[in-house]
Order: sequence, then structure tokens, then C-alpha cells
Amino acid sequence: MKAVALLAAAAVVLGASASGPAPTPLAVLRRAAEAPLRTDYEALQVLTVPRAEGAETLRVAIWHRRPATYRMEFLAPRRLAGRLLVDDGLSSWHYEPSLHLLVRGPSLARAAVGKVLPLPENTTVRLLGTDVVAGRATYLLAVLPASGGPTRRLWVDRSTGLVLKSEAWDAERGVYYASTVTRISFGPVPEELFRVPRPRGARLVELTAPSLGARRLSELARAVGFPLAAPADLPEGFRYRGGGVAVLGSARAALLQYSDGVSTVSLFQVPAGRVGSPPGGEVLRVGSTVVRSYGAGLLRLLVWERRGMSFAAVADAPLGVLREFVSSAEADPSLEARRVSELAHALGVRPERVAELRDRGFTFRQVRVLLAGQPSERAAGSLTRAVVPSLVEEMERFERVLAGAPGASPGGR
Amino acid sequence: MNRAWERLLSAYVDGEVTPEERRQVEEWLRQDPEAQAEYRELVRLRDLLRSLPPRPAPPDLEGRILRAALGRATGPKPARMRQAVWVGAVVAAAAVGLFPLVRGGLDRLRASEPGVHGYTWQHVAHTATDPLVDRAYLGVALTDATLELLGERPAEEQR
Repeated sequence: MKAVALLAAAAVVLGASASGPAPTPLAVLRRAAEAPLRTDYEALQVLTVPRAEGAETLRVAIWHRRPATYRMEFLAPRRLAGRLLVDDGLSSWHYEPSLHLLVRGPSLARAAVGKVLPLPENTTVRLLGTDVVAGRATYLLAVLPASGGPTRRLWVDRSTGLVLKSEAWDAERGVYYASTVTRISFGPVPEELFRVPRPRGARLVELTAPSLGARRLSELARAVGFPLAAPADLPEGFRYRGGGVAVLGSARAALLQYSDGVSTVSLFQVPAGRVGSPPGGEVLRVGSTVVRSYGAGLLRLLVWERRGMSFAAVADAPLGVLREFVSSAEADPSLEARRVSELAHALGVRPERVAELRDRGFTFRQVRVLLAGQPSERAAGSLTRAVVPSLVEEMERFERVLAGAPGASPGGR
Repeated sequence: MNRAWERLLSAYVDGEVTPEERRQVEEWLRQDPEAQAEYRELVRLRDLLRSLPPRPAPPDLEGRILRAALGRATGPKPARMRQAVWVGAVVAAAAVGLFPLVRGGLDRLRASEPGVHGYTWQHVAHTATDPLVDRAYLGVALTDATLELLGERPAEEQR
């Protein structure tokens, strides 16, 4: 509520200074998502990020060459000074000078090559007005997910579409993250800046991230060799976006990812006994489940066990959102079968049809909407008959985007 | 008996529980005959383990564990990592040798403890597709998590 009031006030103030016909909020957002594909630049950026011991201010020099090549040199604080990250769109190369260590890891530039996921139907995007950042005129956008996840404010360069400033806010943490470009210039960047660093004598370590290509939970269950617990319900606006095999130490775990278009929640599952909880953390209770909670910068990790399965959820999201994941991940196959049967009976469809949609990652509420187009009064939430076609289209777009299909373009609304 | 309790009981036998966990286990032992039987069995196995001589590890075990843990690694390895690997190798060899005997305790020996960054690293590596995520933030989050995952700390942080 407070966020809405703040945004409304900002809209009044900033709206007064806007000149000329304003583009639609979605057009500005889409342009922001596509801007790195069209623009070369070098910039200095200041970030304020939470850490265990309090907020930390970071300074980073960034060079970008379209479509997907980055170089980042970390300037401050002292713990980061000298750290280098070069991303060629295929891999990232992290050099840590004080350790003389070179790490090859996954690329962080995928979003810049046309794989931006679409925003769900019920995410609200507002154009609040205009502002000036680093001497440049910007549009100020607010993106408010229906899930209760963080609200974002983005300052989008009017000329190039690049995001020059951003903030994240939620009810628990207030404004907990801020990033501002303090200096930027456009134009070709010398190619040699993007050469992979090869410091003589440095240790080289390679880390690979799992592919999240599993569209069906049964497919992922076969890959990991144990049955999975599909969350019965999710916070409003969250959709399943893919799964894969994750490696946790020596254990193979299932990794399911869910997105509300703004935040992503990673849900890990592995038979209990194969992994132990990280040390420390704060002990919470969600219903009868004992949960350990850990903070890691912007991210929060919850770990719990239920019916012989160990679960972990990670996200940049308020605790309330993650607690809903704890409540909804039920590892009892007989309960799942009973709910499938009951919903099929209530909707007058074959149980196999319900089970097939559950296998594609839909919650029971989403299945109800898809099959009946008429949610029950209790479970309806904001999903309405009008949403049904777009929900299906959205899932299909997700699948095309994740599969890297040609023509899968950045989306939003 | 569920697996969480099995691990907690095993930790209790080894004296590795917090005061709160100790109270939980002792309360549970007072009430549950199955737990008491499991406890007696674990104590017997612990004593048996302690009486056995250490077994030599296979000569290539260090390399195999490092490759499994870190992907493909090259170059010199820090001394403390080598030491940790040898400790792990002795524990692993003892566990394998006693596989038929050690039941609840084996779960804990086999259990992987990935740490907070074992989870966050994989999460960050897959959030680049979020439309609004900041590249610079991703860069910091990924590189911080990578160092934690590898058990490395920059010199400035060690001071």
C-alpha cells in the first residue's frame, strides 16, 4: 500500500514535467529489454547491495558491445577491487587477482540475445513520468508484480532505451537495492577489452550450470531418478518456467524454477539424507514444518524437509513469498493423486488431463482455470476467464523462449 | 524414524549437536523405544569404527574428488584443499569399508553439505533471463558465490 502511495505521488510530481506524447509503459519496457542488442557503451555504475554486515556500495566500470559481450571491472570496495569479469555471450571469465584464480562459468548475457521471458498477465507496468540520470533524459517506470514480490523502478534512457538507474522495494526491506549509472558514453568499444584474460600461472577452474530444458516434471524425475513434488499452489503470478538437474556437492538434485516475470524462485528437491542443511541460519516454522532461513545479499534461502524429501527455495523475494513455496511443496504422491482425482471429478474431465497439466508445472488453481475457465470463488484470485487464452499462450512463449526458438522475441505487457 | 531424526541421532552420538538439538534428542530417546534401539546400535558402530585402523586411500582419489567437486581444474592446488581432500578420502574409505554395518550414520557420512552458496550460485546462473535483472549486480552475485563455492576468499577479506 505504501509502495502504491509512493508511486502515485511520484507520478504526480514527475508527470508534470513530462513533455510530448508519452509512449506506453510496455513499449518503454520492451525497448529497455532490447536496448543492449542495439547499443555499445561504456559506463561507470554505483550499486548499493545488502550484505550480512549492512549495505555495501560497489563501483563497477562496464563495457558492453552488442549484442551480448560485457567486461566488468570492480573498483570498490577494497574486497572487490581488481576483480574482472569478461562475458563473451557463451561463457563468463572471472579473474580474481589476489588469488591468481581464473574461473570459467556460465554466461550472464543470455537475456541480451533475445531470450527475455515474457511478463505474466497480471504484472502491472506504469509510466510514472520523466527524470534526469547522468545528465540524460529518462522515463521512470514502475513494475509491480501481483505476487507480492519486489516492486522495481526503472529509469530508462529516452534516446537509447538503456536502464540507467533501478531500485527494488518490498514491504519487508523497504528500498533494499539501488543501482545508478553515473557516467556513460556511447559508441564502438575496442575489441581487445573483451579478450578472455589469460594470466600466466593462474589456476583455472571451470564450473558449469545445469540446463533448464525440462518442460515436464516427469521428464526431470526420470533424469534425477526420484519422484518430484509439484507445488500444489504458488503465490499469485508465479509460473513454472523450466527445470533441470542441479549438482549440490556430490548429490544430484532437481531444480525447478518459477517466475512472476520480475523475480525468479529456484526450488531444489533431493531425497532427504543426501544433502545436509548449511550451518547456521535462523529457525522458522511454517505450519508444522521447521525451516532454516539464510540471507545471502539480495537473496534469501529457505531449507526444510518433508516426507523424506529435502527442499530448498532461493529468491530475491520477501519471506512471505518463500513461505508460500514451503506450504505448497507437498511430497506425498497419494495426496497429489487424490487432489488430481477430486479436481477432475469437480470439472467433469478425465484425471489424466489434470495430471498432464500438473506435469507441465501448472498449479491446481491454474489447472482449474485452464480446464473450466471458471475458477471457484475461493481459489479464483485474480485469474479470470479472460486470462485463460493468454495463460496458455504465455506458457507456450516461455517454452519457445527457453528452447531458443527463432522468432522468440522479448515480451511483456 | 524419519531421515532428519536419523541424522540428528547420528550427530548426537558423535557429540556434534547444539544444546537445543541435544535436548530434543534426549527427550525423544526417553519416549521412543525404536530410537533407543537405534541409539544403542549407533554407539556400537561408533566404537567399532574407532577400533579400526585407517585404510589407505587409492592414489588417484584426490584428483577424482577435485574433478568431481570443481569440474575440470588445472594448476597448483592450495595446501588446505589438499589436506581437506585427504581427510575426506580417509572418511570415505572408512565409510565404504563399513557399508554393510553402518546404517543411519552412513547417511550423514554420505550427505553432501553444499552450503548456502551451493544453492545461490545455481540460482544466479539461471536468472540472466529475468528481463529486469541488472548485469552488474549479476556479476557481483555470481563472482561472490563462485568464490564461496570454491572455499576461496580474496586477500582483502582475510585481513
